[in-house]
Amino acid sequence: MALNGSHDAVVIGSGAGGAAAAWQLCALGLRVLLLEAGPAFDPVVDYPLDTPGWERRPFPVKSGSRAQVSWGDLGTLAPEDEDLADWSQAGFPWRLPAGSARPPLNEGYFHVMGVGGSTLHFVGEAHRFHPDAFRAGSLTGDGADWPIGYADLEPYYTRVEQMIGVAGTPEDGGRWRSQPYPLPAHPLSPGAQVLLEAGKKIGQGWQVNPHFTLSEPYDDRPPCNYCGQCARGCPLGDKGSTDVSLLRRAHATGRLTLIPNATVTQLHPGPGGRIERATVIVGDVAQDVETPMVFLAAGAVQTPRLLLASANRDHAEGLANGSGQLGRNFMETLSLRSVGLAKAPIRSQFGLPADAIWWGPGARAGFRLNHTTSETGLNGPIAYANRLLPGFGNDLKAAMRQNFGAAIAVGAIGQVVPDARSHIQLDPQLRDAFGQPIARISSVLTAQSIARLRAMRTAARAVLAAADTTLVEEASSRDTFSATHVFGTARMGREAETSVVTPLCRAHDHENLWITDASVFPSSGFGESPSLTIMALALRSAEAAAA
Amino acid sequence: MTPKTVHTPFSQNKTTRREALALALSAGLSALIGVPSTARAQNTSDEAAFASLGALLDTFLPEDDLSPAATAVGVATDLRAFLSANGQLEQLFIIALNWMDGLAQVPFWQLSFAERTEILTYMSAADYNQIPGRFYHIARALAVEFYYATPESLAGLGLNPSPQPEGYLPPWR
Repeated sequence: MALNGSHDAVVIGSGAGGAAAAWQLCALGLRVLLLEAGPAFDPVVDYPLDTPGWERRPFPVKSGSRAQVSWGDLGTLAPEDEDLADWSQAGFPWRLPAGSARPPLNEGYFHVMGVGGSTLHFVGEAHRFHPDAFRAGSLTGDGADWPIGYADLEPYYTRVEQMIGVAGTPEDGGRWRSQPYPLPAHPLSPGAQVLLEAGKKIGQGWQVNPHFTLSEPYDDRPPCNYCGQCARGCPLGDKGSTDVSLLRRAHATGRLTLIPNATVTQLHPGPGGRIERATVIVGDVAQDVETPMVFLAAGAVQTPRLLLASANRDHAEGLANGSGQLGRNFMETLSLRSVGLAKAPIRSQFGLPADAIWWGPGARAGFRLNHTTSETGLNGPIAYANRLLPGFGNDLKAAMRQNFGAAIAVGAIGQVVPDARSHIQLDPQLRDAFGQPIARISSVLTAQSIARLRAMRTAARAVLAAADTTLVEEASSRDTFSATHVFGTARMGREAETSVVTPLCRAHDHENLWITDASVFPSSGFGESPSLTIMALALRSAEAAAA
Repeated sequence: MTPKTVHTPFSQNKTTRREALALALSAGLSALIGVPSTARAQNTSDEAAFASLGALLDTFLPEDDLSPAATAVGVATDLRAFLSANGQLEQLFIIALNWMDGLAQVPFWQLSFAERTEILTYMSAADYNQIPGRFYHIARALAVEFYYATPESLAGLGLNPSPQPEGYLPPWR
């Protein structure tokens, strides 16, 4: 397949940032070649939620849909933090002893490579960053400020919300809006209703969580029917993953060429720094494609990996790395979960996952809570029996019937402050199937992060206690590294000496290279999910590039 | 982009499975020392060891008024297929089932339900760093996972056999 001569821009990656950039460019009349390293997913075939055994099937792994990574320093399980160790009433009782290396969660880095990227398995929280989150460094003394503010992004937040169809309520935790949400909020689940009432008793203002999932028909897509399995893949197309929203719209312009299973292995700059070509492998065939403009949106791990791997004689430390900051400032997901069991079932297995949120006690606290019962799998019997309800025999079966639907889970996500020990590097030895060095992830929790985990736990336990539940499970980033939301490895800034991209996300060192994923985030926000902000930034960059 | 972290079933979680197995096997045969046993010779063949698998599963998950026993919905068959693709885990089952068969004058599957329950009760409280305790938790996790994946097990839980195509429309109270 010859790929040259028919495009004005090359976009690498089709998740939140790549799809948003591609759509915006197409809408402005540009011809876009979108290269996606992973495969396409067929919602009907790949998300078989209409057959029994669904709880045993996580989001599918297809050939080429997972990036290989290796692990550097993930920190150790400090004995003084044993109070934060994971536990559950019916889970395996053994755990790693204090002093052990902190392992990655499950397989570690499980972002989806595929048409739609990680929006394919996201739950669909549609969060705007809080205005103060852009000044987190100044306000809290930790981390970095953004070179842009909320007002710069607000019009783009609105545009994304209107395009995809976000459901929410006007109250949004201090995030002012120029337009109302296009869709009414979803009805609150039984678990969320309990948390709203419990929160009132203790000063936690829980409210509707804005969602990409459709509450009414919109954009030629049906509304959600509340099967509760967003993270396993949405077979209806109501969730707003980019394959059924932004990319579908981009296709409709007639100006998008999307190539799945197309792996970019090198970017090649010319003498002036412009990226002139990209080497891409489709099938077994490598070819160079012209790059009038490049939008790199492979995520905070793979984006720096590709730029580092593209080092050449003139850019010995990698492309876009004149500052030496590429790959640094990596920020993982600081998360915690507490689960309570009510005295009787409340039908908590039903409703939209992550449907309620408390935006937290303020900027210095730097975290938020959400209702995470379904999100964490507690809408299925296997999870109950293997995590919450011990025992066996008739006693277990009776306990299942007496307690199923009684679990209420509170999730917490908090700000991570960049640390010199946390970074993405090229693995010195390991290569992928294309002979390219794989990314090596190092990520260590700082004392601030550990303190924040304790504050998150205090808040989560408080609302569960106010809901009159018994604590039955807790887990957090203290025990495992999680890459759900990752940020920071191609930091945005005004100064070329201290950052990788400009405030418009154009590389300081390469005038036609734009980075439109969460690697540009100078700070991670106060726990907001990043997809809406990634999309808003991408629209802004694409608009600027096309001007 | 939250979740993404839906709890992964034990059978699908390669890291946890690998760690659990490594820890279980590192306990070694010394784990059997001190375990109440009539010390029947453990020369049973691998296949014979699995004769007691069904009895183990039905002790974990017996028939009751609303739902069938584990073997009645194919859990033994499903588990055997899973173990055959996970060789080290299969070895753990063989070692442990042989040990369980040696606890009395007759193999585990010939014991009464009450006797089998007594053994599992002992194992549930045993040191989880030794094989009896470790095997109890791993076998229970797999039994529960395969059992509650069947539509027949859902009686009394208020769930459809699968989340789609109906979904669960409100009101939910």
